[in-house]
Amino acid sequence: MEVSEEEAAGTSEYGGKTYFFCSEYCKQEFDKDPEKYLSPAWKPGGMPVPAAGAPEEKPEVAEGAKAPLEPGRPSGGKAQRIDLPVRGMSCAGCAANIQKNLGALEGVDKANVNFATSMATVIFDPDVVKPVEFASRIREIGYDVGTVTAEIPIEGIVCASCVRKIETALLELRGVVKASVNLATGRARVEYLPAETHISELKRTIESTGYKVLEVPADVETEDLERTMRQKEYRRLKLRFISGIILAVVIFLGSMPHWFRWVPHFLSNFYVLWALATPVQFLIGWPFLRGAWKSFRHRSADMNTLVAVGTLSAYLYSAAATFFPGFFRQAGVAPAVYFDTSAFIIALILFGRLLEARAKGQTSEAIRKLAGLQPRMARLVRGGEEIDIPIGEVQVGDLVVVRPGERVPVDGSVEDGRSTVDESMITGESMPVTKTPGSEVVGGTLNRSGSFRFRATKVGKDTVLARIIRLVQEAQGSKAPIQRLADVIAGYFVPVVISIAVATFVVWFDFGPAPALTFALLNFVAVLIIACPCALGLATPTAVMVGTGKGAENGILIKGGESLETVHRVDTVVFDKTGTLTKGEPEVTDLVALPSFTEEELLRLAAAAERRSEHPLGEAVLEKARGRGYAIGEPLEFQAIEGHGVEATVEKRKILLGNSKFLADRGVETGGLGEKAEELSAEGKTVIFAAIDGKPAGLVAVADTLKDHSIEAVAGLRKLGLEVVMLTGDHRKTAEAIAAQLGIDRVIPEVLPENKVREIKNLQAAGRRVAMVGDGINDAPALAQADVGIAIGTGTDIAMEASDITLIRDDLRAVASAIALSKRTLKVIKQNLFWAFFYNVVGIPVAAGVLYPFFGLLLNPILASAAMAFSSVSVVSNSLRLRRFNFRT
Amino acid sequence: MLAKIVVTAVGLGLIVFVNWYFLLSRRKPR
Repeated sequence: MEVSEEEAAGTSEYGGKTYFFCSEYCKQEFDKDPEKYLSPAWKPGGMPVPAAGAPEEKPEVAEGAKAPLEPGRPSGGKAQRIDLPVRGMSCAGCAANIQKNLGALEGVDKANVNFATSMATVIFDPDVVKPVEFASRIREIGYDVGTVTAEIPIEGIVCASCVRKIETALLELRGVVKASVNLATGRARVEYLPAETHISELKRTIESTGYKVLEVPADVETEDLERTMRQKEYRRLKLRFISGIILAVVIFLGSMPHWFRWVPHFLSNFYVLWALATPVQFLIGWPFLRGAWKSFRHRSADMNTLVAVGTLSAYLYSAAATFFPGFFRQAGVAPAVYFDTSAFIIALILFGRLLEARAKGQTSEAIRKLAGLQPRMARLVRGGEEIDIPIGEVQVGDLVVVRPGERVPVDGSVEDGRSTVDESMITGESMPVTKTPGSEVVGGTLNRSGSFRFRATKVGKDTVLARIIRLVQEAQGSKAPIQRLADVIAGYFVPVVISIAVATFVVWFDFGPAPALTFALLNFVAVLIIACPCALGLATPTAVMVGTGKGAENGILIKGGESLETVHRVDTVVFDKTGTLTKGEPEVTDLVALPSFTEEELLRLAAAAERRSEHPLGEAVLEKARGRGYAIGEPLEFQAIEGHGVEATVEKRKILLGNSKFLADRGVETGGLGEKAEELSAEGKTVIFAAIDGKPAGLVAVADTLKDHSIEAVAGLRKLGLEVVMLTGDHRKTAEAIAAQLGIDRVIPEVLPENKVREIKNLQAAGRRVAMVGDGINDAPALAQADVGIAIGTGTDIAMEASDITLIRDDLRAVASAIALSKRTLKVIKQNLFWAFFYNVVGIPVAAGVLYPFFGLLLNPILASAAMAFSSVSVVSNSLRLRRFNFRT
Repeated sequence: MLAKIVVTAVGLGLIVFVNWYFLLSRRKPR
């Protein structure tokens, strides 16, 4: 930290140089041992700089720890130190607040927050507290931590336990603030402090847990890469499954000679069965064994562990019976083999994975569809000639030609030509939109009839399409809070299941009927096989992926799992009136001319008087006159009186336009118009009084008209059981009139723009879960304050940032659709979780043989493996049902 | 009888080992 001479709280001479200090404390510390701070080894706050600088306000490390701490090193004992960059501090008070909060965390020896360097230095016991908690605490109290987020594609994640294992390993790393692994996308999203760790370290950590990090070459589209990878994995899986099932069937036929008497006798030979089962166990089933071993070494267990232990038990027992039958006979047990069990389990579980892989591919269909909209080439006009170039080379300012039937390559503004463009893929709006010079076009949309040329305004990652894809990818990779419970359970699941299986074995062996060993072994295997946490791991992410993807296809961008979950709890929807429910552009609705004037005269003169006015009401009057094709004269002596009206001379006549008080001040009596004026106001219209040459001439009523689908949208929301509230700056009377038209019962009128946030807070204080619908730019603070912010008719970054849901199309009906979609998605998640839990809760005891004493019912391990494969597939299929969600409900 | 005692002892030992190895001996993530 640099301290100037004027600011210095103290100075010190050492080695012929002068050092300035920011505080007396720093000076004292420096005086005690100047060499310590001048040695290159001492880094925390930077070295004191001769004359121009002084030691950084020293992170108070020396006091709590025995030795001065180096960054990132444990001090003598267990204490560690971490430096976190903090954002959003505006004063030293913020620093103190953060410091207090961090210091209060258990396991924190000392926290020091430096406002100037925006750094929080924490000395902590890594066994008690993790840096993750510092970051979340800092965020909780309203600041942010400067982190970098990386998306890392991982190969070989198969179940919820894998997710938990990788997340835990990543969170163990210093500097990792947040780690979330998505089973459905096979990606880890890691938020980390770039000063503390590096992406290569993250990758190393993931690989150390036994998974492979996919290297993404810089020039390959991630989408393409993932698809190729998925296809490759699918083909390999298919090959494994087909060879597995063929062998398993042969083994099964050979193992049941009393059922299949036509089967050649030699197939029933134990040695032959062994020879057939061994490749299934060790070649085809290799991924399970490898996965289990890797997890085991990492002190964790996942579904591979269950499958490996289960099948190996059956296999090894059978192998022993094959090679040492004498041993079994001596013990009084008839040697029997269960090669069919192990082979069938492996084949069926592979089948489950195969179906799962196919269904998982379908869940990311939305992204693929969106990415597919992007044309690969663009036709530019350069030097008067039309040339085709790859899309990546188009630059802002290029003139692009689009012919009928072609897709618009990038975003831009039409220069010449005329056409209709189908924008349904971006906005969900099915009617083609007419484009004329000056219209905006969006990359990825389809040109229909004519051809046109446009100037590129956004290219590459900045286009609306690219932003949408990014947002949807982020949303699909995010984790719904409801998932956390499933993750925690999955972490304990496998060891508990192994314990239950062992206990099952012991109980059957000790107390079961003869042949006890056979029963014990088969039930042990059945328990291991039926209990697989994969359905648990797929329950949430697949539903989130399909739900957000389906939304995106219809112009509804949902920010992620967390937003989805909040939306379904919303009970109140607040609309900002102007620009949301209404067009935000006032229009003339009524003209009332007194008998001595004609309507045309009134409008023509009023329009001329308003010609120089910049007031929206004036523009509405002018627009109306233009629309009727009147010749509008130039005003002379124009004067606008803010908040009252305008005064001008047109065609040598003196015109006054404004409220009644404005006219009265100028000696014009408007009494005769009063009744009509009140009637119009009661309808929610703004009334302008007009006087010509000092005599009252009539009224012009102006109102902000409703958007096309406002009434339908409000009705749709009420049908969902939500209360609709309108927020407006209008007077109560006007506001109520508009609300009545819309069918809204509750109005909060006379709200100044800056008070919108307060009104939302009031509703929340009254126990409401509020969704706020606004345009996303003026309303950004209110959108952020609401439990759910819904920005409408926009694809801008600010709007997407501030809101939880962005509706690209300017159609209010999408609000109800978005809420309905969220509710449906949550319902699917809950169903999935229920079935995944229920399945295990019921399946495990049955497999353990709880029903045997009462009904003689046991679960065959082969059936268990079929059921297990079915459980994952049913969860994924249930999520895929969301693809049929109807948006017009 | 001996077989039962051995199986029970091994089983209990396995349960203890599995829970210790996978759950207890691992450092808590937070």
